[in-house]
Amino acid sequence: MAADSTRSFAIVEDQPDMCVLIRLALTRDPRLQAAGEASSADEALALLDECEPALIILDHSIEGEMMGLEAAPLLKAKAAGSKILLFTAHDMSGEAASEPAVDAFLRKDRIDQLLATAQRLLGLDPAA
Amino acid sequence: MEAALGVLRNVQTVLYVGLGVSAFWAWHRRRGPTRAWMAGTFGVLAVVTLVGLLLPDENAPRSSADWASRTVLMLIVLFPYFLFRFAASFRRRPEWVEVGALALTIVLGLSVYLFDELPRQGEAWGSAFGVWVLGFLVQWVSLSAVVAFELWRSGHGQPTVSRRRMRLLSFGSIGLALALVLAGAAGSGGGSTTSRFVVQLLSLASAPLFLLGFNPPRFLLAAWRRPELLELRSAEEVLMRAVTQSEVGERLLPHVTRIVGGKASVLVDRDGHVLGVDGVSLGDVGQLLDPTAKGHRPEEIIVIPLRSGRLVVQATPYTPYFARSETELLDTLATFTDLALSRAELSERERQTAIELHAANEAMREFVAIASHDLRTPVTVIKGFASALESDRGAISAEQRQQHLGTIRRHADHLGVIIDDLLTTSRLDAGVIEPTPTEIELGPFLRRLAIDLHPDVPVTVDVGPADLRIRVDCDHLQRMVTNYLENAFRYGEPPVTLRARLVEEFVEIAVCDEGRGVPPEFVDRAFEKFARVDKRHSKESQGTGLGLAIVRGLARASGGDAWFVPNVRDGACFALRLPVSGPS
Repeated sequence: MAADSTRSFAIVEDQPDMCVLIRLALTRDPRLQAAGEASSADEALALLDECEPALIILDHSIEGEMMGLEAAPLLKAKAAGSKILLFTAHDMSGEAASEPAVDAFLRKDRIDQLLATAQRLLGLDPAA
Repeated sequence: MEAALGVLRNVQTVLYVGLGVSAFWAWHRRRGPTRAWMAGTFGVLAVVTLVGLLLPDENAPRSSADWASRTVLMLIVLFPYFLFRFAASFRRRPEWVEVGALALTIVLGLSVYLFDELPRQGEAWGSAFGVWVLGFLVQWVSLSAVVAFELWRSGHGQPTVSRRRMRLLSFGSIGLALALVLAGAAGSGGGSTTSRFVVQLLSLASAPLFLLGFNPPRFLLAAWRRPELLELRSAEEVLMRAVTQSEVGERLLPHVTRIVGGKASVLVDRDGHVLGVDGVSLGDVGQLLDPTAKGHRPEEIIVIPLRSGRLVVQATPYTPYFARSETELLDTLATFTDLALSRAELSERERQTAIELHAANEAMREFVAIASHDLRTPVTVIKGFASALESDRGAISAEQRQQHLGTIRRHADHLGVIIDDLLTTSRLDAGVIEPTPTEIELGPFLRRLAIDLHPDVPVTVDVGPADLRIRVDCDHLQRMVTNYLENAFRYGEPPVTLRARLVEEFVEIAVCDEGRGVPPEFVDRAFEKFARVDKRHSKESQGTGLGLAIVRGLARASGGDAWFVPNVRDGACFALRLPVSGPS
């Protein structure tokens, strides 16, 4: 995969302000493009019918019956090529580590590391 | 042989007189029907043997000998009847048996005086006297047999001492009846010397049997009581090992029942809660504990008072008379039971404390987790937008810049509310919030509060009586009513009603809306910290989850309370109560 190719990301987050913030943080790297946003697991699964983003930023406390961690395997099953980053304000590093569908975990208050984590997951050179 | 007979007769006299005196003494010391009949029984025997000694010899004038002989015969007739009544004092016989026994005894006793003259020893019996002797034998043998059978059968299942005493009395009755039958069979001549010797021996042997059964010496009692003492030791061991109060009940009671040969036993604590039962179903315990219950025989119920409750044993009719010492063993056990119950209570309290501590730790852990989450979210947004404003300064339009600043302000405000609620909750938990009451007129206060909070949303304020004045901490009241109203605006639907009523020495304030109401699964934990309607079912903006906990904490700090009002068909209704005269 070429280091300078464009990668898309999807945001699964129920707080509009956080969606804006994540988009702002990631699109600082011009190689990253927003593919869509969803506020619940159902919406996220529907979004994957339309596209297969390289990265899914997944919150845990989302709307609907299903929480983010529960939704991760379903999302992975539908988009096997997508990396899933669990991005939540909860301390869930342990739970995230034991869920194979989750590729990385980042707590929300470390939002300044979001872009670097996304780049590392996607194999993008941060310096490029 | 005649000399030996004389010795036997004298020994017998001494024994029966001793028996009669001690039976009377026992009745004198502790009066009751059982002891009265026992005293009558052996008193009659003593009198008969004494009067027998006074009988004139064969050469005395017939008239004086007759008088003494008739009296002896009349008294002898009374003996089996009194013995029968003694046995019947424990367990009543069918009425026809009791009436028949009495009638036969009266007829036999009185008819002795109807004969012209009684035959002397060696004289032939007339047919009338022969019939009387036959009736007398029937009365004596049948009543003695009933008593012997009853005492023998009822001894089964009794403590060792009771069982042996009852069986000795049973043997004594049989021995005496047998002696009489033999004497009767010998006929008018009195039989041979040998047969008279056997009769005398049987009659004499009955005396110690009666004596031991009626009043056994202490050394015999101690020897006989060994199985019950072993049972007591087992009960004490059980008490030492029991950990919980119900274990004390379950393991102790079978021993208790066995020690007194009872039918059932129950252990209840000082609040009347049943800790254990034996020999009775839980459904029938009430009847056992209720002295006024139908079929209840108070004399069969042994109640051992404990410091921590009581031990109730359903014994048998024989227990009060034959097993008094075994009942006293239960008094010894009472002290051990009290100790075991106290220890179990302490241990239970300790276990409960450990559970509560664990629950408190869990609650604290959850509190920290949720508080961390709720604090991190606005901090993240503020940090993120501030960072975007800094780093993308050139690329951001003026409009976007304003939007970002607005978002930062909103989240900073929310953060301020969370921190304020958290601090209030901590101070409530620590009990350091002191209400500062002032007197206000409630109606205008609530109306102003509702308008200030949401000028655009009308709230119906209804205060009765209209001029109600209360002493209250105004800041606390404002906080409580505001939290209720904000919940109604956030989760409910208009119209929102704010109603206050005077109820005795309290004012009750309720905030009701006409929205979807409170999900049933949320009702029980609505006033817990961080309790929020499940986000999965709600798209509405979330509060801090501390609002209702704060309302309840502040209300209680003023001597009032806060609660959810159930059964409101449409919408939700939350109420609080405050003392009109201010915090106590």
